[in-house]
Amino acid sequence: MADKLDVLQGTLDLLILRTLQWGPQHGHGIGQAIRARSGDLLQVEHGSLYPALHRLRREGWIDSEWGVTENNQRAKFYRLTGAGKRQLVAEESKWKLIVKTMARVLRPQE
Amino acid sequence: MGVRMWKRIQWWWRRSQENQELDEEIQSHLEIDARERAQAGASPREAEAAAHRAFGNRTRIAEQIREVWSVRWMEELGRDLRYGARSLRRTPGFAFVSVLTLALGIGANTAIFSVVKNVLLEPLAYTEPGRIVAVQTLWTKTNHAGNVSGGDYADLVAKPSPFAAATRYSGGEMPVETAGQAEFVAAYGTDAGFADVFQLKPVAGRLVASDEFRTKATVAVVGEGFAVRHFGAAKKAVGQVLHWEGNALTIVGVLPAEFHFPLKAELWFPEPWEDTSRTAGNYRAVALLKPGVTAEEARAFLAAVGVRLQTAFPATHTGKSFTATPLKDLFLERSRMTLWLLMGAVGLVMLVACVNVANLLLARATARSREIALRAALGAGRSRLVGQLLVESVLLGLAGGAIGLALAFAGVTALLRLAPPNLPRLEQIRVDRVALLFNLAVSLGAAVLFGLWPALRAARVDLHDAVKQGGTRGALGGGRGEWIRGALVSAEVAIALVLTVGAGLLFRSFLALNAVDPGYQTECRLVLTASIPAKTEAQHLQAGATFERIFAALRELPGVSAAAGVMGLPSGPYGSDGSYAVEGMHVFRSDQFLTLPHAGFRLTSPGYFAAMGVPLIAGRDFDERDLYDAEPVVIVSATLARQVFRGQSPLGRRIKCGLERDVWMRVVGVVGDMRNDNPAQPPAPELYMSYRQHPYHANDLHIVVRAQSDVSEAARKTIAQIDPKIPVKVSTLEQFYSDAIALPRFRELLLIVFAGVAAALATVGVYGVMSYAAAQRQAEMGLRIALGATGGDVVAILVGSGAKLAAIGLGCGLAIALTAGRLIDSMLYGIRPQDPFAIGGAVLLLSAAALLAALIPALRASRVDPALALREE
Repeated sequence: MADKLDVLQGTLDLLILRTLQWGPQHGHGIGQAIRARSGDLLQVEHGSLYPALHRLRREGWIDSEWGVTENNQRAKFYRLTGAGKRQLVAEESKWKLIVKTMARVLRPQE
Repeated sequence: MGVRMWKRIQWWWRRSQENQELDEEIQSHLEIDARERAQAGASPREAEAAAHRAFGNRTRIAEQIREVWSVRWMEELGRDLRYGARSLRRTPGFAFVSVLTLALGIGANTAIFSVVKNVLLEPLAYTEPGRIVAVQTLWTKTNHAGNVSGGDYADLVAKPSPFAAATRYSGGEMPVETAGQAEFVAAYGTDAGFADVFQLKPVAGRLVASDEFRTKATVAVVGEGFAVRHFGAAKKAVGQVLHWEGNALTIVGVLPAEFHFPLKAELWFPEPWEDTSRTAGNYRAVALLKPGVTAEEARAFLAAVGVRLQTAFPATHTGKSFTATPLKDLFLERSRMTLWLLMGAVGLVMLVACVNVANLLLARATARSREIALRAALGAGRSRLVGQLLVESVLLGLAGGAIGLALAFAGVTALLRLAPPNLPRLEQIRVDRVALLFNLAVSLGAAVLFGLWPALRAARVDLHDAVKQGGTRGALGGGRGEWIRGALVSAEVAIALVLTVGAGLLFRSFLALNAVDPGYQTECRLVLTASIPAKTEAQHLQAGATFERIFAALRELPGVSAAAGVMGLPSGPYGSDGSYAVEGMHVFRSDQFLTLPHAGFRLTSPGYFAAMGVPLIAGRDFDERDLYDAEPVVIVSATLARQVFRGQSPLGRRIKCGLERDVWMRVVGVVGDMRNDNPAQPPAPELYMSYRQHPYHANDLHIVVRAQSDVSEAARKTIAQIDPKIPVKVSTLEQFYSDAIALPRFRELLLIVFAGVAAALATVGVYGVMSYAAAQRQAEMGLRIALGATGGDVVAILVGSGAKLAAIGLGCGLAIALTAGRLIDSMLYGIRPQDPFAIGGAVLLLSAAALLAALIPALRASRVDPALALREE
């Protein structure tokens, strides 16, 4: 399948944290946001999303709270904690390093 | 890590709510998704179905999320615990017996050991008892250790030495008087090092200052007990004045109540000794070792000093060396026998308890091998199976431990109520923590060990075979497991028999001791301990005359039928003894002393034998004519008359002995035997002398008053009227007597309780194993009944196999008891360790218990419905 990319191992956490930077969001919303921002290229499996959300909560990077959507539906909203923000910065710089390194390694040889 | 664990535990704690929220979260996701799809144009039903499809396997995702939070070992433990508790509830008999066994083992052992340790081992209530040593003279020829002389002491502790501090002391019971009252107190003179050796801190006031030792200030430090008795409180004692033998001392400080050194001491005063004698061993000495120095090093140092002194003073120091012994060891020395006996009993009871638990767990594992095999076949991992069985063992161990703990506390309380009230430091007895932990650890260890072994074996079992064979012959059901269980039962019976024989012997000895005739009557006899200070010969003679007036005045009191004095009351503190010579038979010279006969020396006033109810066999009692300047006279006991005069009359013969006067004394009377030293000892030969003819030993007397009623107050007043300065202590002859046998009596009681516990545990153990064996063979018995065997046949078969095990155990136990009996010979009174009644009684008791234990399950098995039993297979 050329039109869909699997989320790389280890990048899901970064994507979730990054998504929550814009404000609290519920699980479905997070999945939608990631898909929309990737131009429908990244498809997050619910089977990975929810365990990941709980794992982040366990690590103390995000917090959860019941709230109401624009359509007046009850949902559990996740938001970044202070520790989560610090983690996001760390993960971002790590990711940039990976991208740069990968690019250098994959650069065509002259 | 910390956050993670904490959050996990929070989640686990709120798990039911969290699980519900999880469901709600997924539900809300589905609803939001469905609504979006509906808004995009799908029909509500389509939208809902699509949302479900998109979400995937809801249960699996929820499971994955729970996995994120799971505290796996905790959950498994919880499951195992629940399962274990359920499986124990299913077999309440097994659970009950195991828990009871452990509880009895832990509780009874801890309680008894706690009391024993406190009462008999006399733990030292000093800051660092391990570092304190007694410094003693060692006579190398006889290996006898004794007091040190003033001159030697100075050399022994002269720096450099291995001692951080050292002190010498001397003293004993002295009559002490305060404003309100007089009493006999253990009082000791010490030098300045005393407070440093014991690192003392006063509870009120101060210690004696070092310059007060130099000047021999008239100050004293007293024990808290003394302070409370005399002044109401420790603080009130400071500044008060006390008197003894003409000295007036001001109390400057009070030491804590639990400090008693030397034994029972309550009064300490400074004594600036300047005695440089090398030969008079007047002092006892103790020292505090420097940190890190061992007793061996101190001994080596003292031995070196000994060698130096031998060279310097060959005339007096040949064969004389010095030694250091930790105080703890000195105390242990005294009660080593009792200690070993009780430790042995503790060990045996613990062994029985462990064997019991082992047996039960082995039997249980056998019975459950099919269940285990089934679980293994269904995919339970080996570690899970072992863990499961282990959890059950620990559960049993913990339940037993908890009940045992309660038993230990209750037991200590009960034992204290039974203990004789004059035992030292009774008020300080607590459950001994070390003993409690030790017993807990041993029982838990046994439960885990014996739970683990069958668990490991069971987990390794060939599943196919075990499932196919069914419950009766699983992992351990075959010959080997049965053999082990049988051996354990026999061992248990053997141990219980040894303990029961021991208890039986002690009980018989106890009865014999209680029935013994001491030779005197103890009922209705008041004992007044009185002391008249005297230093010169004239004062001592005067003291005798004063006592005579006191006796006369006491005899006038209403209800009093006799009053007389003695130095050397039976079981009292003032006995003396030595060699004597009969004129015409022996030569009384120092080089002949070893060949001379030996006797107890006692001084009495006229009328003493009548007051004690001792018969005069021949001759006369002392009378008012037997004074210092009259012809010295002596009365001999029947045993002495028999031993030395062999049927001839001793009357008119003359005897000389090693008491202070070197004179021949004419025998004027023969009296009945008395057990003067100890009710447990056969009467010794005795020489009774007139107290007024030996005045130097006769100013501290016990006055025996025979009266129909309690005349102690009237007696006190009578003596105070004659001289208010005479301190008087009131007691009864019964009290002296029962004090003398209180300790052996208590020791026997403890051992009897021990043996009772062991016998009960062994019976429980036999019952447990027998009932399992019967249950195991239920199918076999059912078959036998179906094939025509009667209930009686079944009972005979089952009881027979139990009886065989018991008989083997009894045989082994009997052999051990007969061999080991010699070890307690010295503690027995009036019976031999091979006493047939004690041994026969123990065998009968245990046989009956074992048969009963085998009979009950056998009877149950004989009533089984054969069809039912066979179908269960």
